Amino acid sequence: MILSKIKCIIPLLILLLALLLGISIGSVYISPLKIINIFGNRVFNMPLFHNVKNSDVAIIYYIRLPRILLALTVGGALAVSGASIQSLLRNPLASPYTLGVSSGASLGVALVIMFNISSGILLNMFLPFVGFVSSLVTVFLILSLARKIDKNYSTNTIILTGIVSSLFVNGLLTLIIALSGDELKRIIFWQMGSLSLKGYQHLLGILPLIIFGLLGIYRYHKELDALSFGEDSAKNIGIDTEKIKKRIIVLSSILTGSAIAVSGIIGFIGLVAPHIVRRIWGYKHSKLLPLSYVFGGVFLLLADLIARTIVSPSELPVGAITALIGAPFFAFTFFYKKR
Amino acid sequence: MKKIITLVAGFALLFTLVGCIQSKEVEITDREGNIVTIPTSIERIVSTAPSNTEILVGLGLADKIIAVDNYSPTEGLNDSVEIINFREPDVELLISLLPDVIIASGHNLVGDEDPFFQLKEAGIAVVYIPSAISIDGVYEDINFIGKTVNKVKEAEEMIRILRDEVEAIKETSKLITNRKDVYFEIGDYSGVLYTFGNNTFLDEIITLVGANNIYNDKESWISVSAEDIVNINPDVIVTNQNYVEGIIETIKSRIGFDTTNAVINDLVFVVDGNYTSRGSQKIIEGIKQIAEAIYPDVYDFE
Repeated sequence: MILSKIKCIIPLLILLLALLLGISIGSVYISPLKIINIFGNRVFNMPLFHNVKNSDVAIIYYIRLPRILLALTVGGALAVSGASIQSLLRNPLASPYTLGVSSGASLGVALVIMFNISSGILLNMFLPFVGFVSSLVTVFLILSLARKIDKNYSTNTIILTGIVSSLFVNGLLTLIIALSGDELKRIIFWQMGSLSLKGYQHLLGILPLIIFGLLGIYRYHKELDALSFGEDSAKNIGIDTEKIKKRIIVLSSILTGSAIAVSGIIGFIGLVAPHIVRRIWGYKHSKLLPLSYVFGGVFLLLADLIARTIVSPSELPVGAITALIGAPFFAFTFFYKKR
Repeated sequence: MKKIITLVAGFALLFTLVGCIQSKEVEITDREGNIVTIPTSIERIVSTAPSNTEILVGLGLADKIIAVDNYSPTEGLNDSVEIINFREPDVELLISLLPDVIIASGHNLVGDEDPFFQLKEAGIAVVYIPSAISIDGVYEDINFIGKTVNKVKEAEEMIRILRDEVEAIKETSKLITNRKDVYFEIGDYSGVLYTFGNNTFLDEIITLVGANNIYNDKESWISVSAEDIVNINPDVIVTNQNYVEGIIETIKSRIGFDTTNAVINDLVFVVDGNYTSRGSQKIIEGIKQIAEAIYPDVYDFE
């Protein structure tokens, strides 16, 4: 009883600690007292200390805070969609990326950058929008292709059509990159993933979609429990597996599509976070989904913290950090289980 | 019979001599320190970088350029000039053009890989000019190109004009008492901001016109975080991303930037990207634009 309570409190403590770390560490040092004062000022209209500069307020409240909140949201969304797709396809290596979400988004964004369809101020929100739409279009194309091959949407059909289509889309992407000149850098940087220069408007832009996706998936947590035991047993207890599969794929694509639309391609979170949660808290989706959200969010927040401080004032692409930490970590937990 | 042999031998000797005169060659050391054998008479030139093309055209050699890279300005060049993507150069085409010399740029090199090794094996002279990192380096590049293409006098004249203008700006800058802190942005790649530290000619230019590059303590080309820029609080922001529509508005509207002196006082400027990134005689246009942007009341070049 006590143990299970501790198990519930730990994630909350980790979340809190990560938030504190994220807000107080950056390329510029601002003392904790000042940070508290800045929050007091913004939230309760308390007067600012005389030694708190306007730039300090901007850094804490308008640069760092939206960034760590965005990291939590994006990381959480990636982890939850990873967890649900893994259960659905009964494959621990699957993620919405397997279904072509990332390739689709990359292709859309590359096309926009290449043909300079929009630039300047609009680009700020236009690229994410295109990334989101093209990722969803890709998933729908893949699903309809899978349906043509196999009406039951069997696991293997989905994975294989997903991988084949991703490879094809990646081929197109490589073609575009090879033909591009100066735009090359922007496409590559977008693909590496970054949370820098993102503000509240990005967070608010994707939040409705993320909430919709999260609640939508959570609604099916029992069905996911059943599906992860196998399709036949799920069917036996009266679950319309085709319908559920399609819905979960679409919902998790919405989650991933909107997340990577603002952050670029960030890998490994959808793989590592659910894996840790399953190892410690078990396979029940009522716990797996929310805890994956917490751990995915914390993971990205910390990875981003490293990305923006380790070679300060320069920043590293956070996608590289998640992979550099994620891959060994994943290998470790995997081998630890085997022993 | 003897006569015939003498005649044949004589002709052979004559032809060899003529051949020797025609293919007269000299050895020069290029800007990377390689010793390269080039023909003394240069009629067909390939230029692989915009800066070198501008220098060649400035030396009056536009009609001798037979191929350029896809970023070089083609104004004034022959209509038949080949435009080649030197990221993946078409070696066969280049050889078939029979160039006397290829004036290559440091940024054609991909790591240690020499994209022109096949051309060198085919006996074509390739000289390298690394991207200039100082204004003095630009002088030396012009001087070197002048020597290579037998336009030494023209090159000296070009350097003299450039140097005079640079020195004049240096004199004027001595009047400046308030050294403004400048953030100069050269790239915004999906939120990753690029600027430069010392050992770049742009840093030298900012100092030359009398201002201070806020990342002067850093080395070469660097990416920086928005947080750090906001904290340093530049007086002026200059960017050469003139190819991005609405770049000034984009910079001003970045979160947090509204607290910087530059944005508060509306001192965000855009300058020409080509003039400020190519190490040719045209760099002076870039210097003037930067000077006028930072100190409009001190400099007036009209």
